[in-house]
Amino acid sequence: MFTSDRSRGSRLGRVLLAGIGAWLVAAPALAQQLREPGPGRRPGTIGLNMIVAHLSASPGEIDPRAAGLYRQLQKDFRYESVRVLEQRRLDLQLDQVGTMRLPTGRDMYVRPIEVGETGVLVRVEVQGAIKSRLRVQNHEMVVIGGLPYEGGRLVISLEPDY
Amino acid sequence: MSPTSRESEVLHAYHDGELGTLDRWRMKRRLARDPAARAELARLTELRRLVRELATARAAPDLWSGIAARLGSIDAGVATEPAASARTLASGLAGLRAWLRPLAAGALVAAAATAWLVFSAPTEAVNGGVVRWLYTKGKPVMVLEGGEDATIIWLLDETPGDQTGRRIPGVYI
Repeated sequence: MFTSDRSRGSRLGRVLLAGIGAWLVAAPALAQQLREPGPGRRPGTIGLNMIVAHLSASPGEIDPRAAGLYRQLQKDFRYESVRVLEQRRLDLQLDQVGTMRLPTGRDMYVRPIEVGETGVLVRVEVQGAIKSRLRVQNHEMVVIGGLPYEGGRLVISLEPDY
Repeated sequence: MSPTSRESEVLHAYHDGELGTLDRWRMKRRLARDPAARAELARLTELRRLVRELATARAAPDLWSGIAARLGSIDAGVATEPAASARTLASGLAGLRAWLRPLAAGALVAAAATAWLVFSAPTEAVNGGVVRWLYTKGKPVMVLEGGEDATIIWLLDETPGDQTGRRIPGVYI
């Protein structure tokens, strides 16, 4: 029994088509997986550590939870006390919007757009005040502040942890 | 954030070269089927062109003529290289059996595409940095991008006076 060149060619074509089809389905997911960083990252999510704090020029306590934030601000600002109003971790998937209600009654929206070697590209909006797109390295802090609140200033820190 | 503003945001990021490979691919697919998105992208491109024109309008005319002359010779050199490469590749493939050609080509394309998907890093905006885009409805804002330090975005009051406790001298607050 023999196989003709034509039927062999047809079988080869089917195998080739199936292979290309399988690659088309699997390659994007494979590529994404290979780029995934960090063992501490929950699969498919970007962790964002958020602190909402109140700064005051009046002498007082520095909330230990905001010690890192205060250290950063201390270089350029002269507030004497820091009170943490809210501390939260948001675990968001790419393109998922995380919302935080600020003490001012306004909402804050955070949405990771893309993650890569140079950090996470995140969209941040403080309702009525600011809209921004930030590229933040893992464990790098971004501080958004200056909103007047209770005689002092409201400050929000955001730190990716993934 | 409404869906429209989110889509617009991704489109801006695509235009600025800030999306990763997969997101760029998704955006290209969307652009292929969405005329409104194409129009928006064209508007962004036109805006960038106008800004560039304004920025380059001050350059000396003799400088630009010199650059144009050099570009012409560079383009000529680049144009001959692909043609020569294509001829070499074609002569190499001619020796293969007919049924091997599609297999080899398919494998080559698949390998190249996989390598592109896996290893291509997201394109960064030219300016780099943390703050890629900022909108405050015209309110004054101060941005302190500091290497190993935190990046600080500070909204300023529109009324004069030291209301933020800022230490840096010479900055209006």
